[in-house]
Order: sequence, then C-alpha cells, then structure tokens
Amino acid sequence: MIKKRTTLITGLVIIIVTNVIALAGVAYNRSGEPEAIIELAERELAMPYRYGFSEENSGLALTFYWRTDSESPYNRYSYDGNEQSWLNKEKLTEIGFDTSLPLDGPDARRQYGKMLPRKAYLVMEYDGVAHQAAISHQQNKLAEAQDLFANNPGKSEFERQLESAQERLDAEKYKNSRLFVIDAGPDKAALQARYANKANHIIMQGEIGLRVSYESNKSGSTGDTLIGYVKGINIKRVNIAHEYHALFEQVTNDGTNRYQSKEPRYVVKLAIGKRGEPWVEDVRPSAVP
Amino acid sequence: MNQSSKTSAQQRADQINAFQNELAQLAQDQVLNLSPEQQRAIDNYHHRLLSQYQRTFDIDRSQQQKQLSIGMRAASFLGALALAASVFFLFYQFWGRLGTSSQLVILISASLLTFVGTLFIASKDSSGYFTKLAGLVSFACFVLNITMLGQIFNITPSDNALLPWAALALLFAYAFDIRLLLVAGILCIIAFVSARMGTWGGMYWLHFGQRPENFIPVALLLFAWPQWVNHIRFSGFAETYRIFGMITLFLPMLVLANWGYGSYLNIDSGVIEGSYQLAGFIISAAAIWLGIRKHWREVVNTGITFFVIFLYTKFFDWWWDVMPKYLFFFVLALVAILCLVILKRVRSPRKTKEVAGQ
Repeated sequence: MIKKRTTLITGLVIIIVTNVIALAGVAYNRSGEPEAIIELAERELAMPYRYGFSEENSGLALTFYWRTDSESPYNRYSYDGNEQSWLNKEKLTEIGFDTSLPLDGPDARRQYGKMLPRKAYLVMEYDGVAHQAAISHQQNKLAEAQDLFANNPGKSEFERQLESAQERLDAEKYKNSRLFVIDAGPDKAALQARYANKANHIIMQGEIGLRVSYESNKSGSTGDTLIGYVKGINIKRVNIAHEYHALFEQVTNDGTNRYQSKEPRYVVKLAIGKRGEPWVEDVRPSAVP
Repeated sequence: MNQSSKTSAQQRADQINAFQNELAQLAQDQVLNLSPEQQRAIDNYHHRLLSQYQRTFDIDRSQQQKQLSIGMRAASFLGALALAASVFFLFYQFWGRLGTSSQLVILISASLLTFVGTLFIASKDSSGYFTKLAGLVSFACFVLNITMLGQIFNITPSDNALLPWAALALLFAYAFDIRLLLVAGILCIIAFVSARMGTWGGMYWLHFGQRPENFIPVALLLFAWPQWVNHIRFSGFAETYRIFGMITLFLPMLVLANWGYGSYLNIDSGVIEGSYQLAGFIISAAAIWLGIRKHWREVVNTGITFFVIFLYTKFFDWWWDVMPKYLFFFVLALVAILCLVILKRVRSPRKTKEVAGQ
C-alpha cells in the first residue's frame, strides 16, 4: 500500500492542480478584450424544455439555436445536416479532409462515406445577409401563393397554401433564429481577419462533416460531388448565473412560450473569449423584436 | 508467516481450515492420530496466525463469516453507488440557487473534504468496506467538481478531464486496495487513450467510439501491465487488469465482426467482418491456451465466454433465417454439449496422469 502521507499529498495535488488548471483556462479565455460581443434574443438562445431529471435541475443554461441556409427549394429552414455549397471540395480540403481520391473511382463512395466529422472554426452571422435572404425567399413564396390564390378562387387548397406561406414568413421575421453559420476553416485568425465585424459575427469551435452528393438523371448517374455540412458547435449551451435567474423565472411564470409571442422575452449580451468560449455579460427583458 | 495481501491471507486461512477439517476426518477414520503435544503445537500456531490475519486483513475465519462478507461487499457496493448518485443529485437540485463563487467553493471543498474524510475513515476501518464507500463518494465529488466547472464556465468539452479522474481513482485503489476504484480508473484510462488514438487519426475526440480499433492499443497495454508491474500485494488487481484488457479487445472485435464499415481499413466491409470473426476465434482460443498455461483462471473464463459469443454470432448469421427456431436452439445446445465433452476429455488425461503419479 502507498504510505498515508504520500497518499494525502498526492490526492491534494491532483484535486488542487486540476482545479487551478481549469480556472486558469477560464481566466485566460476572459482576459483582455473579448473577441466578440453580441446581443442574442430568445430566438437564438432559448430556455430549456424541462422533463425527467432536468425538472430537478435548478441550474439554467440557454441552448444555442443556429441555422445553416438550406438551398433546398422545399425547405428553407434548416439546422445541421444540410449540405452547404460553400463547403465545397476546396474548403473541405482546407479543413483537413483527404479529398484526393477521384470521385468516379470504385472505392470513392465507401472511402468518403466513412470519413468522420472534423474539428473546425465556424463563423456565425447574426441578423445579416443570410437572414435577409431567408426573409426574401419567404416573401417571394408568399407572393407566389397570393398569385395562385387569386387565380384559383374558391379552391381551399390554395387558401391553405396562402396561410402556410404567411405563417412561414411570420416565423422567419419573428421566431426563427437569425444566427446562421456562413463559413468555416481551420485557422481562427484568418477567419477573424475576414469577418472583422465583432458585433454580428462570432467564431466558435464546431465540426464539419462530408458527404458524397449523388447526381443522377433519368438515364443514370451523371457524376457525384463532394459537399460538406455543419455537424454542430461544440458548446451547445450557455450557463446563466444565479443573478439573472429572476428574469427567467418571470418569463417561465407568465404562461406563454416563445412560439406564442411575436417578440422575444429577453435579450442576452454574450461575450466570446480567446478560447472561443462564451459567457453572459448581461440579460435584460426585450422591448424590441 | 507474512502474507502480502488480503487475498493471500484469506487463501492461507482457508487452507488452515481445510487442513483442520481433514485432520479431524483422518482421526475419525482411525487413519492418523496426532499426539496431544503435536495437536497443541499445531493449534497454537494456527490460532496465532489466524488472529494476526484477522487483525491485519479482517479475513473470514468461518463459512458463515464468508457468506456475511459477500453480503457486506454487495451492500458496500450498492451503498457507495447510491451515495455517489445522491451527492450528484443534491448538487443538481440546489446549485442554481447559488452564486458562482459559492458554487466554486462548494465544488472544490467537497472534493477536498471527502478526500481527507476518506483517509480518516481508512485509518479507522480495518474491514475496508466503509473506506470503499467513502472513496467512491470522494471520486464522485471530484468528477462532479470538474464537470460542473465545465458547465458553469462553458468550457469546451475535452478528454483531458479523464486524466485527473483516472489519477484519483487509481490513487484510492492502490492506497486502500479498492478494486471498484481500480475499475473506475481503468475505465477513465480506456476512454482517454482511445480518444487520443482517435484524435491522432484525425477525428474529433468525441467520435472515438465510432472507430472500435481505437480501443485495441489500450487493451493490449492493460493486459500486459501486470506483467511489467508486480501486483502481488493488491487483491485481484492483476486479474482485473487482464479481464478489462480482454473485454476492451474482444468487444471492439465483436463489433467489427458484424459492422466492418466502422473500421479504419479502406477495404470491403465483408472482408473486414470475416477477418475480425476469424481473429476473434483465434485470439480467444489463444487466450484460453495462455490462461491454462499460466494458471490465469480469469483469462480462461473470459476467453471461453468470447469464443462462445463469436461462435453463436456466427451460427446466428448462418442459420437464424433458414432454420426453424426450435432447431436453431437445439443446434446451439448440441454445440454446448460437444464443448463439454471436449473439455472433459482434455481434462481426463491430466487426471489419469496425476493418479498414476501417486
């Protein structure tokens, strides 16, 4: 057996040193000027849905709701998993995927299909070009639905389509997240130089995956392409300190949920530190959508 | 007279009890009767020995004590798990009502105080059961400490946390001869080494489980470890390392024998599955042979278990869809009986030689 004194000293060293290293990392992350300070509303940082064990958890962490722009004509609202044309072969190679095997090779689909997601820095744009494009798309869809309804009077299916188009536009304007992942790369400094606006761009660690997109027409396969997708961000939730809990208790007790109100119920001022780890600087009730 | 561990002391005590029972039987059968002086000398010697072992190692001196010890071990294990869970949920319930500074103080103090508390209990507890309980609670507090720090400050998840957890678990294990915490430490090491293997292979560490081959290096390390470092003073530690080494090797092989797509190898999945099935049979058979040769019972048993699992998996692949179910299970039963017959025949020549040798 190990001597008692040695055990005591070793154990204390393990516990103390581990905590010191963890807290030193936190201090480093928060040292100096934050890399970004951004105000996100309830649409982007949502309260948790409590069930099971989580009902007994008195802590509070808000979940990031982020999006990628879907290029599907059928579904413009997408989260992770949707392929992004900006995650092309060159970008995927830059992130670290081995894309040297020709796509028309016999083993290409298997090799590329087996590749696991890789770590990358993700650039997230808040209430910017990507969100405006999403709104414009829904406005166009509404206009199309209005034309169809006007040209097909009395047909209930077109009336329903019009209602749906209006709901989707309202959702895009007032409820859907305005945080879009618009770029990724292995070099954080390069991304920071390219996206210098700290007020509506944040850079966080995440993962990028790779797929083979199968192109085919009626006569058979015409060629495959490599395309990437955003798998997720590494920090999915942000802890809320006790000093801000009162506001969230008020929000919880008012009987509404975020889908019922056009306006978000709170705004969170979030800072991003040197290690890409966020912390909350302030929380306030929202008066502005 | 000196025994190095509780296991060896218990074996010696069992040997003494068996000797005393056999001596009584021989006297009853009129085969051997010791003189009163001889009987007294042996009794005094055994009494001194057993008393010393009981003081030092808290051994079981009778069958009844043994059965009670089994019960105490089970109670200690369940109590430790329940108390650790209680600590976790207690913090979970109340931490949101505290400021950040208070949360930090409570987390770090809990780790330090339960650690010191475990050392204090160990100094008073000769049985080891309460020490095991306290040790597991202290380990749980430390895991909670680091996990909650990560949540409070939104720290990026990292496999580095596994190292200090492993270090503390192994410290408790070796300081107080607690196999449960040795297992906890081994599990942390398995996760850390496998995650690192995955990272070196280019993946994000959290995906290490999607490439079962990541577990193979640490499996070999665990199996070989008792050969490099003598564990004679620690009850069951060498066996524990070997068992976990084998499980960590065979489970990934079993997975890859059925899911070749998960391999690092860029070849046809069917070839990978066939290769791992064959390797599974060969390595489990080799483990049985090695265990018999080295008198490592746990290696023999684990090898047999996985050999049977690989065999039954193969039977399932071949026959489940083509045979009626009653016939399928009947074939499995026949194979089990065949194994019994073979093992009995392998055992019998040895028995004949032992009797002839007498």
